Amino acid sequence: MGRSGDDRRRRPDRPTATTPHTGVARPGHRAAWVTGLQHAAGNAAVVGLLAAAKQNTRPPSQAGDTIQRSPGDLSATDLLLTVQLGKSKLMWDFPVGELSQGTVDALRADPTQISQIEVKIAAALRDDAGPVHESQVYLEGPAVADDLRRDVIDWPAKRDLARFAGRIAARAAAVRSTKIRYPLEQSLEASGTASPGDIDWRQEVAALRGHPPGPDKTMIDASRADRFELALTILEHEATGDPQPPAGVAAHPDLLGPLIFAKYAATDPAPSELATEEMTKTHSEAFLATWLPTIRDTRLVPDDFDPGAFAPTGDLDAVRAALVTRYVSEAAPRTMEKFLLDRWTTDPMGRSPETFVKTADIAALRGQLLEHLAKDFPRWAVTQPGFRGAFWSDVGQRAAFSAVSTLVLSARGLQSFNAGLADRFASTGPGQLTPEEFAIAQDPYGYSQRVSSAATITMGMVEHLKPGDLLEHGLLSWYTALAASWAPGTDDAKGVAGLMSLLQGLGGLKSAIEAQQTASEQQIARELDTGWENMATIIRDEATAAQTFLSTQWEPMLKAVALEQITKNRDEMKEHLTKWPEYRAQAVAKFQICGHLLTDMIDRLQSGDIDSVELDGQVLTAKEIPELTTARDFMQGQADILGSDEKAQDQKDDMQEAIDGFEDVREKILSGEYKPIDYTKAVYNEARQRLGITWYEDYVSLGAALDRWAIVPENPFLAYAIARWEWEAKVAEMDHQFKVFIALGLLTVASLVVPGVAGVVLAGIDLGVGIAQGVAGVTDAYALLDLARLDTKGTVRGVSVDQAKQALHTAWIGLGLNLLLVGGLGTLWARLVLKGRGAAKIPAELNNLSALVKVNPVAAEKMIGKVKDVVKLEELLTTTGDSMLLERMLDKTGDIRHLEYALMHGDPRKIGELIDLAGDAGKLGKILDSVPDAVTAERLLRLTDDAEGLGLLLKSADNPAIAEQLLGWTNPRLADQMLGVAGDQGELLRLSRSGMSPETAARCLAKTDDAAHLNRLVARMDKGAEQVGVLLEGRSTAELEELLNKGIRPSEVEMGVGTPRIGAQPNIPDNAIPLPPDVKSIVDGWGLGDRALLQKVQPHEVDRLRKLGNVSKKINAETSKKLYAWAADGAKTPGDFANRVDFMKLELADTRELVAREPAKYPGRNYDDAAAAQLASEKGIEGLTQVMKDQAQAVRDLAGIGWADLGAPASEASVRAAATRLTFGSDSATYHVGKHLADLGKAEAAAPGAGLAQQSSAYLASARRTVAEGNLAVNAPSGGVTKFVFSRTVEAVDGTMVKLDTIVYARDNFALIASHMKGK
Amino acid sequence: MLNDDLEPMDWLVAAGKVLEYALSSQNVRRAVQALTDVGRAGATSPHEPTPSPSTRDLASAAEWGTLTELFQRDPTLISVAAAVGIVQPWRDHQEDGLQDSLMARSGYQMLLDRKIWTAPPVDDFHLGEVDEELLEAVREFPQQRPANLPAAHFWWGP
Repeated sequence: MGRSGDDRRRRPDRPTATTPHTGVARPGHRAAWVTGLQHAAGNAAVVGLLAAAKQNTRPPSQAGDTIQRSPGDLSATDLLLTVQLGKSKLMWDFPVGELSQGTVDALRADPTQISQIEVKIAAALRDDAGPVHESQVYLEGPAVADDLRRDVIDWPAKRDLARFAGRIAARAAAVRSTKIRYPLEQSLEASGTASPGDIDWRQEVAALRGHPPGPDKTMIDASRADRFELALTILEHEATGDPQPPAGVAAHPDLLGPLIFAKYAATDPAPSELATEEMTKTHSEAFLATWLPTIRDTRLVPDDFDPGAFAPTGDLDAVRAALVTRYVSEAAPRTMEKFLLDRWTTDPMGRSPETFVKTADIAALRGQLLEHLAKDFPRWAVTQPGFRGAFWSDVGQRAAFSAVSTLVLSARGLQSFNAGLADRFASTGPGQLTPEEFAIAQDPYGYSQRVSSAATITMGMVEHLKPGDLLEHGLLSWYTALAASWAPGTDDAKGVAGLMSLLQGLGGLKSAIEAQQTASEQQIARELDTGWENMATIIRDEATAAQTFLSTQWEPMLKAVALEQITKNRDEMKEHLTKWPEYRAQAVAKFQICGHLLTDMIDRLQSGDIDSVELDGQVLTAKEIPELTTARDFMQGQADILGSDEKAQDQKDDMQEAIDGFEDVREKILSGEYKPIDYTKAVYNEARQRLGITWYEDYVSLGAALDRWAIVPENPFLAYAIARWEWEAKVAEMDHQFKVFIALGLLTVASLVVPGVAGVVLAGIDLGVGIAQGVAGVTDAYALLDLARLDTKGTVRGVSVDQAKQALHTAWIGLGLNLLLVGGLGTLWARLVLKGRGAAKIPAELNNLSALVKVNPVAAEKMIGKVKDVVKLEELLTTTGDSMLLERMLDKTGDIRHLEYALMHGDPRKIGELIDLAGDAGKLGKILDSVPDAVTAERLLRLTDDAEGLGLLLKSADNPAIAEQLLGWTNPRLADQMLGVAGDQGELLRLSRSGMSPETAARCLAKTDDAAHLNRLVARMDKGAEQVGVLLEGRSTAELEELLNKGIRPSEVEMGVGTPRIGAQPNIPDNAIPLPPDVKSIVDGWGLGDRALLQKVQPHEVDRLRKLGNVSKKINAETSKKLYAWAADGAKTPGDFANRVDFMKLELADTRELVAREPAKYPGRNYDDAAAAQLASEKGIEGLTQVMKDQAQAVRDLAGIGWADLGAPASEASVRAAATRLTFGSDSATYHVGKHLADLGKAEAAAPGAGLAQQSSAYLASARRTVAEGNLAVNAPSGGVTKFVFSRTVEAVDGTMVKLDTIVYARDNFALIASHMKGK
Repeated sequence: MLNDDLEPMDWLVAAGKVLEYALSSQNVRRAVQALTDVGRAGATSPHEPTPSPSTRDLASAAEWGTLTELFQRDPTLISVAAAVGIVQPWRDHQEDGLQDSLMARSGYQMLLDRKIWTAPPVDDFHLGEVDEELLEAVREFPQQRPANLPAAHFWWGP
């Protein structure tokens, strides 16, 4: 950091900010003052470097050589300015040799001015928010000091510090308008470094100040350190007003310092939020690397320019002498006449011609005349045929050639110097740089501007130099322009020392030119009659000369201009009629633009943003708002008229009428019927301009002009002659009242040519009505109307009579008309003077908007109407640099603030694309709120069509990366909705990758605790994530988890397994019939002929019993009867009995397999008999009963047992719809599970070793799925019962394909599963 | 049936596949199915009066090697399948299952004829019990008797 002012003052070799480049001070201390300069130059890193080297460069023995001055002291050699800034004392020391003598004298005469300068400095260093964020070292550095030095030179005349204050204000404004906190916090949060809530930026900045973490070896390093400090300053500014952080929040300098440095200081280019166009200019020392290519690439002379082509040729003196002789005979007499009359006109004593010739110092006048003629001669000479390249003497040619050669050499030297700066700054420490190099590093933007300015001038001149043409004129103008752009003494001008040395060379050229003039003057004096009589005659005949001028030049010129303009107007009107719709639209737009402009002024005056608006001396304040409002309404009214088809037709007719009357008007102008004295100011201005006559200021009264108290600089005699002519012509037309005004000095010269005589004066003296009537009285109303109709732009005769009257009532309507019809928006705006607190922010010119109004007024109006603030629109046009782009953006902008905000984020074209993508600037703004940069915004926008939804999503997401990943999965709104309930956002991302659809996820999240919970459920599925959605339909998460916990697989839950839903049972009509004899015989064979159960059967059971047959003939008869008795004992119906027999047979087969495994035990014994004996034993019977009971219970628990209510008459559709509720009709029927379990498909089969519950679950699910998803193979109604068979092919457990059939019986509104098995 | 159009070699491959599963799950019904598939491999097409070329090649088919190994792996399972499983299709489905039972028996016989076991898995008594039951069944449903079995396999009667 910088040292205090007191501390600095004790340094023996304290440098001034300006002494190094003067070369006048302390040559013996060069190394010390160079170092000192760099220390004073405002670079934090430099200070660090120098501090380390301080012991060597500043020996203590020099401490006694302290400069002691009082603040504000002006000594014989120096001006010292001192200002207290906080705890620091700022000092600037300027050798008087670098200030102008006039300034030094003025300060000596009134020393209090020095303290006034200091007060101004102090004022510039504060703004509304308090002291500006500037370091002492920067303020005392060369760039600022040079501004201040120039301001001090101008002080006696201007009494302000425009450069100094402007620089400081611009830098403060740049800091205020730059925002890096949000993107930085986003970046920190996204990287997991820190969350915004943990950062107190004021504390962090305080800890980081003065400790840039980057390298500190080179000038580039120093610039980066400055940029680091700049970022801190912005962060500190942004944190102003933050609430106090909770106690105990610690600073993280070790963490944040390197991150901030890496993001903002170590990057080229730096992130756009910091490296704004404004910031890179105002704080260019912090963006040194950014400017070096610009400086390097600037060309001062074309690479292929060859000065050798301008080498002088031959002897030219004789040619020159002949030309002088011709000049004397052809041009000199008129020049002499004009010179003398101008001298008479400008005579400060206002003498009459006679008095003048009698009393003037004729000898002196003659000397001046000859000098004037000598200067006029070369101007005339260049217009003569055969002159080119032959006028100047050999000496002049050689001087010019020498100058060109030096210029090219110097320019290329500077280009080479500039090209080496990048390497120099990248390899050399500040302490080793030359003062000029260091000064450039301190303000590379300013230097680039000066180089660019010099390049423009030099290139402009060089490009126009052609071998054989005159060299001298170009060189001299170059000399003047270059000297103006590069003030001597500027630090960084050292680099162009070669160029500046050329100035001395040009001095020689100047001498040569002067010698030429002297020779010419002598020759003219010899050859031209400049005797007293001749000169007196010219002056005495001034009235004749004036009349000659008026009749031969002035009036013809007025007519010519007037004719040109009405012809042009006529042509334009023809063009307008040809393109009437387009013209009409443009005219409407122009009137509306005018209305918008007036509204803008009204708003600014009403809000107090500005205090006054001034145009051509008329000042408007808030008091004039009613008049402005009237004017605005008038403009809108005109727009409405043209906007109305009917009324616009009248205008069109008028225009046609005007064109038709063109010849008549033309003739009246030529004949003088329309008197030139009645022409408008525009005609006069144009005529004077063409004749090269400047004119009186508006405030010059007619009396002052006629008395020659006021004169104009160019052609004063002719101007006077015109004024006198106007006076006389008006007096001839006007009444006494007019003369009174002139006598009172109330009418100005300018007012004479304003239509209606005195619009400007009227505003002040409120006598408009009378004078306006006077105008009307002297003008033929009909003729005026003819002219007015033709003169749509008011360029000849002003506005129409009606409009003129309106303008007299409200002068500001004239302003609007002027805007619309004459000068255009840019001209008007440039003439407006705005004052007030907001005025400084309003640009002096509306270049872009003006250009647009000219090219495309309709588009301009549309944009003005939208933005409703011309200044803001100008800013937007400047920012975007493309009106069509801006128009497109505005089409998609509801609130201009949104667009302004969006444009802060990057290149306007890119932002335009983003707005197109977002559909609306407001929506884009919300997106930009939440992303680090425009690139991210674009990437996200390209992932969705719903920008508004994206904004919501980004607001909810912890970071943009989460939003981006979710957009790859679903739309932003659904993603946002899910984030609201997801809990951990990482879990939602995991869910997005699970394969679950976003719609399902959203539905499921509503039923689960959070995304983590849902992910756990997903992990339990056997058919993918999407299955969760199916399972949670009509079921709570707890219910699902309970089923899964029971061991029921998800695909089984899908089929309703685990949730019995059979409802009330139907009443089946009893249609029992006696057993047919053959069946009765079978039953008897089982030993069951007396069983009541088997006396009657339902018709459909008959066949079933018939097919049961015998188990095996090999089984002992008693054993067999025991087994059939078991089946009958537990049965409730014959069908039930049949099921139990089938179950028994199944068990017998299984037992038979077991028996067959031990053949040795049963030699010569039938396996059926052996197995049946085991099964018919007491233990076997118990086993049979228990297994059947357990099987039935398992099915009952999982699906219930009985008829499922279809809710509709049985049909394929109603059965399929009820698939997840179907089950077996009786306990005994559940034996099918065991019988057909092995038939199930691979994916459905229960795992090996599974219990009854799992087996039943798998079987039921497989059966139900076949009903739901299989093909209908059989649909056979019979006796009120329909048999359905559904078939489905699956991969069997052995890898083959197997067809599964599910038999369903249905009656009325009910159905049940009869069996599910491998099909045939 | 799903596999009506299979060639004899395909049946052998299918038999091996099913037998593998039967062995791993100790599933008697699958082992019987393997025997059925072997029987079908040995049967000529019902539409062809003479053995097809593939049938003629069957005796030297390479697939026998794998299949033999599988059938040799668990003689107990094969004995249970042959002794009590062969008749099970007939018992379960009566007429509709009879052909499967006959094919299984034929398949078992083909294996016996190829002498893949050192001793037959089923003793003569219990195999006779099987043939007796099948003979009765064929008598009841003669139309179910396959016409295209090797002549030597009509042990249950002409």
